[in-house]
Amino acid sequence: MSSNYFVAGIQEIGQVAIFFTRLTGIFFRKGVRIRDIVHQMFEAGVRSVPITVTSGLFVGAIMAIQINEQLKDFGAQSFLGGLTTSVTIRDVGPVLIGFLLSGKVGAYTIAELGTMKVTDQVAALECLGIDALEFIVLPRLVAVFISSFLLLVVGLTLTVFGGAYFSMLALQINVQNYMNNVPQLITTASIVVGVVKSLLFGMLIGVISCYKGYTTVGGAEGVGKSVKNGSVLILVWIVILDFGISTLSRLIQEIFGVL
Amino acid sequence: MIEIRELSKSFGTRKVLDKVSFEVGASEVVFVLGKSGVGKSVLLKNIVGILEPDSGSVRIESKTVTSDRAVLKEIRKTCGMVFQFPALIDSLSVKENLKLGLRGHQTLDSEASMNEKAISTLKLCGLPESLLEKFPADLSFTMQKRVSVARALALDPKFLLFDEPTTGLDPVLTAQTNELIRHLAKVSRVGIIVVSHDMTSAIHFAHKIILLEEGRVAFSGGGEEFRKSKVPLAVSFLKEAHVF
Repeated sequence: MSSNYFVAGIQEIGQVAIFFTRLTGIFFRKGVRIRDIVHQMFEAGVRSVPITVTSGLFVGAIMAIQINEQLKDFGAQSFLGGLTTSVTIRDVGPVLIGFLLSGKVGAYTIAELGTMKVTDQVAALECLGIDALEFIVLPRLVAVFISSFLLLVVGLTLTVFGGAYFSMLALQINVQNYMNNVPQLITTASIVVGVVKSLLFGMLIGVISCYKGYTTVGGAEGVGKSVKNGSVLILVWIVILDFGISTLSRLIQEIFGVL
Repeated sequence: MIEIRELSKSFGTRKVLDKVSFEVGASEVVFVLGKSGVGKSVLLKNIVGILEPDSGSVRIESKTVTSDRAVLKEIRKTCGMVFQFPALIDSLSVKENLKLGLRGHQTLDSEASMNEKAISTLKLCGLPESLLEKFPADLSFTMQKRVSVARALALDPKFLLFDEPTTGLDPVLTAQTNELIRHLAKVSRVGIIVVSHDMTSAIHFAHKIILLEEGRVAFSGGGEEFRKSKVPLAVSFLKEAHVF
């Protein structure tokens, strides 16, 4: 039974890879219409700004509370700003904001494409001589990727403000003190790791949501299943990818002395 | 001519189509009847290559339907399909929806001629020109359905496949749609396959009726023959529709 799941999982990874390769081929051969990307970025991205702003501020605040609890015991609260910002930008921030975006941007894209598939809009396009991958999927993939990346960067930036503001408000820590050792603990490498994670999570949300939407079958029930399975798949892969990048950055640090 | 030979299609262990064969000529209207879920829509999707059959073949104007994209594109230029759902692209206006096929199959090269075609097909389907700039969400379901018919007609196809074209329409619109189908066959010499539950229309103007039962052709013949048929499913269909 478990071996069946394993084989099915490997098959699905292969199918997603083929799907992505086809879309990449179309992108480089034919390009993509900017107008469609802008439209999709508005639908999937701009409408997700409030949730990203809110979650970014609160993630920063939560991290500040938790880390302050630990540092208090050692009388090391002067490190609060640096540690909170470092941990949030490198690790917790991209993961938590990625989770939220999988539920917002990812689920929206799966539901939209899935509905188009089960209501024969995709088949109708093919009958009309239009390549559905080029016409409806590629603009969404590019838009979701760019939107998710930008939202992650905005969210991560706001985690810093969230942490600083909450520390001042609830923990009575001066913002100046909070920010003092941030430059010591936040290196260019920390920011690079955060940005790389944001890029890859953005791509992950785009590819999986487009694939799951495009391969939906089975009417309204099928759309529901695709949204559920796709969102869960994005969450799992965000965690796996996060582990992979964190491990890789640690190895690079050990071997080359950077990151 | 559309030639369907021994077409079979299964989904998992369920055999949906089992060696289905029939032909459709120019100007001919063929109604495909059968209970819900018997594989009528699957049959149409196999004809235009949206689904691939397990065995058997479909030939349209001597071209065999394959999975080759270039061949499929050529075939779909001559054989259009109107889906059960209107299947209009929500983000495009009615005009842009109507011009999709003209762009995809590159049948007309100037914007002006495409606009002209969009207007003429819209009028042919009894819809006003004022709809052109509207979006599908602004239209009722029945209007959307008629726009989808116009979209298929814009390509001047030799064959048209209709998947339940009158489902959800009121009696007046049903009659108008049937009249359009009849007009297309008679005047424009379009060969038409209609998947429908509308027994009255089938009896009155189908040149041929194909009755599917458990994936097989249970009856094939004209409307009058169908009316006199002793095939149990045909009898029960006639009885339910009060057509004797």
